Amino acid sequence: MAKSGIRNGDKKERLTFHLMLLPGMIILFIFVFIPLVGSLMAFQDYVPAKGLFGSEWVGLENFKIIFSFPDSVQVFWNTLIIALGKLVMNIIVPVLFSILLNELGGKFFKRTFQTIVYLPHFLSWVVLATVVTNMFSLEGPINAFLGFFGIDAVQFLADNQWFRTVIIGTDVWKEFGYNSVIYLAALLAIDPGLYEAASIDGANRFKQIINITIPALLPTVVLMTALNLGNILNAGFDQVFNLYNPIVYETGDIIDTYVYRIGMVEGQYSIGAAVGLFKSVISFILILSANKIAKKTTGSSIF
Amino acid sequence: MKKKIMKLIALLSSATMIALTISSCGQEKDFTAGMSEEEKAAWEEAAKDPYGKYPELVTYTTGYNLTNQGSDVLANSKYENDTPENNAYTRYLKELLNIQNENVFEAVSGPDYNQKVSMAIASGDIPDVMHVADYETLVDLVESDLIEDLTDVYNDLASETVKKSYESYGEKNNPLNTVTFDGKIMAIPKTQLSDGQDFLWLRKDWLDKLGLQEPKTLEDVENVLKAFIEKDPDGDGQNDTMGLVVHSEVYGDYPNNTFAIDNVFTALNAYPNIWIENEDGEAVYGSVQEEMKKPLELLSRWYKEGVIDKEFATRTNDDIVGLISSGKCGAYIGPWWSPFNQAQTSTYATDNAEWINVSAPVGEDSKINAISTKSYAGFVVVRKGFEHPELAMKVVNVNSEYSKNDKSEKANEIKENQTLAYFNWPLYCEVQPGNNAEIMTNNVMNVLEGKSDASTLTTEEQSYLESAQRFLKAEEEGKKADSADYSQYVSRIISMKKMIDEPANFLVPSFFETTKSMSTRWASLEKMEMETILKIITGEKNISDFDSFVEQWNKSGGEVITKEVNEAIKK
Amino acid sequence: MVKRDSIQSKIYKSLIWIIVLLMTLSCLLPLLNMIAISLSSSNEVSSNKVGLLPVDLTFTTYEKLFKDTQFWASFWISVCRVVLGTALNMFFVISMAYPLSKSKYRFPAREIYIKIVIFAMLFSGGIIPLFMVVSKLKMINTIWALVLPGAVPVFNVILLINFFKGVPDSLDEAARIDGASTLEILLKIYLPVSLPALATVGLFSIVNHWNDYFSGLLYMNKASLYPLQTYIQQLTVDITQVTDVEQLKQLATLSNRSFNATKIVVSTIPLLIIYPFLQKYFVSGIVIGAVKE
Repeated sequence: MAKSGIRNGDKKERLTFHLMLLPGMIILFIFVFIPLVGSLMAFQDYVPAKGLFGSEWVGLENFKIIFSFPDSVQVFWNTLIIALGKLVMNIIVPVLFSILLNELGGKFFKRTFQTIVYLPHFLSWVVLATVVTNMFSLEGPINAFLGFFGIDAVQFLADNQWFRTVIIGTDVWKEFGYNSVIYLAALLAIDPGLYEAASIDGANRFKQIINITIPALLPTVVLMTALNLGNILNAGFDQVFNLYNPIVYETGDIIDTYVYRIGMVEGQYSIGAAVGLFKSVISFILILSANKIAKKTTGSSIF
Repeated sequence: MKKKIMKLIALLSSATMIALTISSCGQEKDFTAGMSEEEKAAWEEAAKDPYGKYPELVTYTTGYNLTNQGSDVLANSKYENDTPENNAYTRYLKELLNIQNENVFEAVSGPDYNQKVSMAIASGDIPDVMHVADYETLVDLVESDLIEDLTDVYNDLASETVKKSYESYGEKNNPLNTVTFDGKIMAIPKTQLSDGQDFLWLRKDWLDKLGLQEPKTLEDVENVLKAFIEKDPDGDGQNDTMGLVVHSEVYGDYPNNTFAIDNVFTALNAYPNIWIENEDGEAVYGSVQEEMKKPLELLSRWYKEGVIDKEFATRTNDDIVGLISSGKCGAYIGPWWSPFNQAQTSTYATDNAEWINVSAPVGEDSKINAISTKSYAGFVVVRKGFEHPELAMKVVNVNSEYSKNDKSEKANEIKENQTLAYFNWPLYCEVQPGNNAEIMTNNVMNVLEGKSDASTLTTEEQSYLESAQRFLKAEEEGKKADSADYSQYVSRIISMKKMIDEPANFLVPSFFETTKSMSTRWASLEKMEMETILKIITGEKNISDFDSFVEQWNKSGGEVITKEVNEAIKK
Repeated sequence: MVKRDSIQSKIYKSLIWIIVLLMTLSCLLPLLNMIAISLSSSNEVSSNKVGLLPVDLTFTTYEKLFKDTQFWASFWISVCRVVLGTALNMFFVISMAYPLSKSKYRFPAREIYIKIVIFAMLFSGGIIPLFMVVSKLKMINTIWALVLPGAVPVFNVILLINFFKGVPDSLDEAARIDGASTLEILLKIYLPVSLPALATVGLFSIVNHWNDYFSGLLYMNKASLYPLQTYIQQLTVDITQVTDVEQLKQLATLSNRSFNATKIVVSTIPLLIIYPFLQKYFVSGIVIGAVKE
C-alpha cells in the first residue's frame, strides 16, 4: 500500500521525474544500447573488413568453443575464487580502516592519512609489478622477515599455494584507501550525539563501534557488496597479467588473461564478445538476486 | 509492457546501426576530368616514373606510425615544432614528389596502431594508403575487396633496390609471395631483416679475471657459468654473483627475444616453438618432439644446481636488466644488437664492464644452430579506388633507395631525425635485403680500415661511421663514450663482425602463419606447453611427464592443427 | 569521555595509531619509490638500486619534462576533460538519482527505469560498435568523445540513489506543504544535505576521468590530442621484444624508467591536491544526522 495517499495522483511530479530521466536515458540509449547490437558478434565469425552485417553467422558455435577448452573449468574457478576473495577483502579491510581512522583524533592526521592511502590506486599495475616482484622475491623483504622466524624462503609468485593470496592481498593493499573513501563519507553522516549519549551510558569505544558505527555502515556495506557482485567474473586483468607466469597458470589464469592470449594468436572479436556476453548475463542475474535477497532480509531493496 | 519496450529498443538500435553502416560509401570521380591534354600527359608521366614529381600537390590520407618516444626528444632541437604531418620525412617527400600526408589516425606502432587499423576497417573507412601489420588483416582486406591490385604499380615503378631486396630472400622466401593472391600483388611488403643468430653475451672482464677461455660447447658454458657463480668474478669478496639469467618465456620469437635461451635447445637439436620438417618431409611442431627431452633434462639440472637464475619464472624484464646492471650477472643470451640494452650501457658506464658476444653453445658441428625469421614485417595497402595507387610505391622507393643516396641538405634532416626517433617514415615500410645489417657493417668497416672512402657510404651508414669514430676517440682518450655511441659501435662493429666471421646453421621454419583451428585452440595448447616446460625445468614435474604432455597436446587439438598446417603448406 | 584517560584506553589508542600508521606507510612506499626513481640517474635505476631515497640525485628528468610541450598540452586536455566530464557526470547522476530514489508508489515507472539502468551498467557491445557510433556522430578527435559515452556513470547513480533514500521524508513533505516545486526541493533541500555524498561521487568522477587512458587511445586519432594518461601510457609501452631494426633507434634513446617515473609523479599531483579539497565537504554530512532526530 502507498506510504502516502496524496502522492499517488501527483501527475505533475511524475512528469518532472520523466523529464529529469530523459537526458540520461538518451545518453544510455546512444552509447550503450545501440552499440549493444555489437553483441551479435558473439553469434558470428566476425571479421572487421566484412562488418557486422557481412560476417558469417555461426549460431552458438563460439559458446561451444569457449566451453570446450580443456581448461575452461579451471579458468572459471580461478576467476571466481580470486574475484570473490577480492570482493570480500575489499570490503572488510576498507571498512576496518575507516573505522580505525575515525577513532583517531585530529583532523590533520586523519586527512593526511586518508590522502596517502588513496595514492596507490593511481599507480598502474605495470608500474607496481616491479615493486611487487621485488617485495616477494627470494631476497625480498617479505622472505627476509619470514626468515627471521626461521621460515624457509618461498617463491610466492611461482607457487600455486600462494599465488592467489598474493594477488588478493596486493590488490587489497592497492585499493583499500580508495575504497574507504565511501565508508569514510558514510561515517561522517553518523550523528556525534549518538556517541555522546552512549558514552554517558558508560559504553567504551569498542562497544560504541559495535553498537553505533558498524550498524551505521551496514547499508553502505550491503550496497557495495551487491554492486560489486557485478564484477564477480572480473578478477583484474592488469594485475594478474603483470604478475603471473606459466607455473601458476593452474591457480592464476583467469578468464580475461585467457581470452587475451586467444586474441594474441589472431584478433578474436567473436570469442571476446561471447565471453563478454556470458559474463554480463551472470553478473546481471547475480545483481538482481542480490537485490531480491536484500529486500527479503533487510526489507529495503538496493536500487 | 516490459517485453514490448525491450523489443522496441532492439528494433530501434538495429535500425540505427544499419543506417549508420550504409551511409558511408563514397563515390569515385575521375580527377583528370576537365584537364587539357598537356596536363593529362604531365600527370601520366609522373605516375609512370618511380620518382616522378606530380604537377600539383597530391594529398593522401593515411595512418601514421609513431615511435613510443615522447615528443620531448624534439625539445630544444630545431625540430621542436614538427608534427606527424609536417616533419623531416613529410617535407622531404613533399619536395621530391609533391605529396602531402593527411593523417586519419596516428598511433605508436604496435598494438596501438593495429587497433586503429582494425577500427578504420570495421567502420568501413580506410585511408588512401596505410600500413597494416599482420597477415590476417591483409587477407581480410583482400577477401572483402577493399584494396587495390598493385601488380602494375609494382612492375612499372618498383626501384631496383626494392626489386633486388625482395629477390635477396630467395625464391621460396620472397616476401612478394606472401602478398600475391591469385597471381596479383595486393600489397607492398615491408621486409624483416634477418637478425642472424643469438649469441652468448659475456663479461670479458670477468672471463679475464678468472683466467677463463671463451666457451664453445654446452659443457664449456656450464663451466664458465659455475665459475661466475663461485669464483667471485666481481672481486668484492662476497658470494653475490649468479649464472645465466633466463627470460620467463624461455624460448620463442627467435632471435629477438632477449634473455630467452633458444640456443641451449637448438644446440641439442631441439627446435621449440616453430614448425619444422621431420624425416618424412612433414611439418611437425618442434616443442613436442623427442629432442626436447635432452635440453629439458639439462636445464632442470642447471636449475637445481643454480646455474640458471632460480627465480627466472617471476622476473620482469626490468628485474633481469637490474640483475645485469647491478653487476650480479655477467652472462645472458641475446641478439647482435644487445649492446643497445640498458643492461650493457649502464655496466659500461659505471662498472667498466667489457661485453663480448660468443658463439656458444654450439651444436655438433661447432656452429650455433639458429632459426630463420620470416621475411616480411607488415604491408602497405592502397584503398580500392584511390586515384594515385602508384604513390605508395613511390614513397617506399624514396624510403628504401633514394633518400639513402641523397647527400643534400634535405637528407641531412632525415639523418638527424633518425637519431631523434619520434617520427617514422610515412607508410612505415622500408625494403632492404635480408642481410642489410651485415652489408652496412662491411661498408663501414672498409672505411674505418681505410679501404674505401666515406663518400661511398649511404647516409645511414655515415651515421654509424660517425658513432664508431666518436666511440674510438673517447676510448683512446681514456674517457667513457656516450652510451648511444657505445651501443652503435659494439653492436654494429664488434658483434656484427662475429656474426659475419662465425656463420651459424640456419633452419627455416616450414610455416609461419596461423590455421583455422589454431586461432581458437592455440592459446590452450601453448598454455599446456609453457606450464609443462617451466615445471620440468623447476623440478616440479619430472622429465617423464613430457610424454604425457605430448599425448595431451595431440589430443587437445595439436593433431588437427598439425594436419591443417601440412595442408596449408601443400597449397 | 575523553577526559577519563585510563591505561586501557591509552593502549587502545596507541594500538589504533600503530595499525593506521603502518597501513598508511605501506601505501606511501611505492610513491616514495617512484619519486626516488624519478630523481635518480638512469644507470642506478636500471640496476634496481633505488629504494626510498634517490641515488645519485639529479633533476634532469624534471627539466626535460618541463620542456615537453606535448606533456603540458595533454595535461591541459585532461584538465578540460575532468572539468567538463565531471560536470556532465554530476548533472546526470543528480537528475537521475533523484527520481529513482522515490518509492514505486510515488513514481511507478521507476521499476522499469531502474532495470534499464542496471542493464546498462553490466552489458556492453564491445569497443568496435561503440567506436562506430562515436565516429558516426562525428565526435572522433573531439573532447565529446571523451566525456559523452561515459556521461552516465550508473554505479554512481546507484550510490546517490541510496544516499537520497536516506534523507528523511519529513523534510520533503514540509517543503511541499510550503508549496516548493520538485526542482526546488531537490536543489534547496536534497543537495545541501547530500554534500558528502556528492563530494564522494564527484571524486569518483574526477578520478575516473583523470585516470582513463583507453578512451583517449580509442577516440583520439592524433597524438597531439591525447589526454595525459594516454600520453603517458603510450610512452611506457613495453618494447622488450624489438622486432625490427627501426626500433633499435628507439631503444638507443629510450625514455628510461626515471623519466617515466617523473611523468607518473607529476601526473599524480593534481589528485593529491583535489582530495583534501573535497574532504572539506565531508564534514557537512553531520547535517543529515542532525535532521534525522
